[in-house]
Amino acid sequence: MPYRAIEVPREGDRLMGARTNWRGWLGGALCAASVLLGGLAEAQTPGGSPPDARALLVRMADFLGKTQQLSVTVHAGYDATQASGQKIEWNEVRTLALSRPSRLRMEVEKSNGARSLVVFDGKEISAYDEAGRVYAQAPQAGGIDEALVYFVRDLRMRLPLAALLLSRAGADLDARVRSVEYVEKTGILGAMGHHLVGRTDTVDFQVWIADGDHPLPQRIVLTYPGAPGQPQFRAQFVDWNVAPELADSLFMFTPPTDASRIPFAAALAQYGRATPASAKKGGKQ
Amino acid sequence: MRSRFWSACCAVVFAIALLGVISDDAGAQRGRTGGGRGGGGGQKAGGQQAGGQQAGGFSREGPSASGGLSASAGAASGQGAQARGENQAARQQSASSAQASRQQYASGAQASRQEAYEDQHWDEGKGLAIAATGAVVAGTAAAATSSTAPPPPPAAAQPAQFATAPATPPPPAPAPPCANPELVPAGGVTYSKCGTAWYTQAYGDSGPVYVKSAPPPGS
Repeated sequence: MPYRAIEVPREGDRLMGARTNWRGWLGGALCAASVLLGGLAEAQTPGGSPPDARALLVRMADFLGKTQQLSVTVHAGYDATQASGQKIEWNEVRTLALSRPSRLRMEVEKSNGARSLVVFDGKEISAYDEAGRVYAQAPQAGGIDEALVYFVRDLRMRLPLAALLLSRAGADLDARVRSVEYVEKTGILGAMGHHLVGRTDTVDFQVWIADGDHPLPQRIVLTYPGAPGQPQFRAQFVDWNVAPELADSLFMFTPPTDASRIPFAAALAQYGRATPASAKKGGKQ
Repeated sequence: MRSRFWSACCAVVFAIALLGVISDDAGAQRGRTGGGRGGGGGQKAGGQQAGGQQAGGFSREGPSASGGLSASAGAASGQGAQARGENQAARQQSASSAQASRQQYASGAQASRQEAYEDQHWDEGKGLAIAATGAVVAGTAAAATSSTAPPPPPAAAQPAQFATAPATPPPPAPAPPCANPELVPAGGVTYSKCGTAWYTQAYGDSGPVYVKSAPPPGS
């Protein structure tokens, strides 16, 4: 039979127990208080209040708009919602070289290997398709701002994130953005940056902006909540250079000898639509 | 007895600490991130990348292709509108106030509103989305071409070159609008005749496409 101790409470033990009990509760309360205070302190530590998201966004766009020369490679992808409801992500790589006030070159390679070239030289806009050996040209005198708007709005060509290339990009973005919030500071994209989330009237966006003297976008995600399937456009920026050496020849478009010239499709459509409209309104060619 | 007491104390402290962490985390999510919608979208999209491998028959069109910071209002759907409660309310407010002001100010105000709209929506990607040979375009290609496309410049020694090597073999050139079309050059444009229909090639938002056209002049 194993020995078994029988505990007999004594008066001293009760007093000791009460004292221990009191000390225990005090210790527990102190522990809890320290944990709660620690949590509060942690929540308030990173700068007290988050940085001004709108100011960061406008600063980025201003910086882009005021940079006289730049080059960057953009790995972009977008969702195309199929009739089945499934979304397919199409990818492309865009290499951009820009020299204000009036020159821009963009090489595009799509995921299917199709390559195209867009050149603004201050006098003309040229678009060239390598596989089809065709090119289109439209006269467009003036700066990059006018050329971008004409290319995207009037010629109805694709140039994603064109708004960020405007010289007035800061004011343009400030006017469009209805709300923007600061998410966090993160180094997950390779360099420290600010992650923002915001909305225009029709597009939700997220942007990661590099911290420091060169507030360049690191990544942008656009969501189109009004479109079926709420598709997204995503762009990752690599190899930013805000002081590139850009040769003049880069902005000269010379078509290959075996390439054929064709009109912009929008020019055909404009002609077709403009005929009755111009008869009524006096016409905008 | 004493050990049980301390165990209870530790359990209480642990529970309080756990509650503190949970509430802190929840507060951080509410206050700092404004919800996890964006992240969810990214994961969803990322998970469907594989579909892009099979290009045959899949559409490349869509509002997100434009990469614009504004989108056409015509693309709105019930699901999307539901997800945008606050903005929708704001839009409704601005729409009703815009309607009121439309009634107050006639054509002048309308013109300035249109200008303001176009100022902020020029990049909404109205893309023609012309499927190959699928669109009927009024007017003659020759007339449009003569007004917008002067004769080709002389070829120089160094034609358009790409700075980077292709990552993927290039696709074949776009197929003609029909098998063995009759090619008729006129006014610097090559027309393709398929039966009684005429086509001409044009540069669309996704590259060269064939569009229906009027017959070439003099045919």
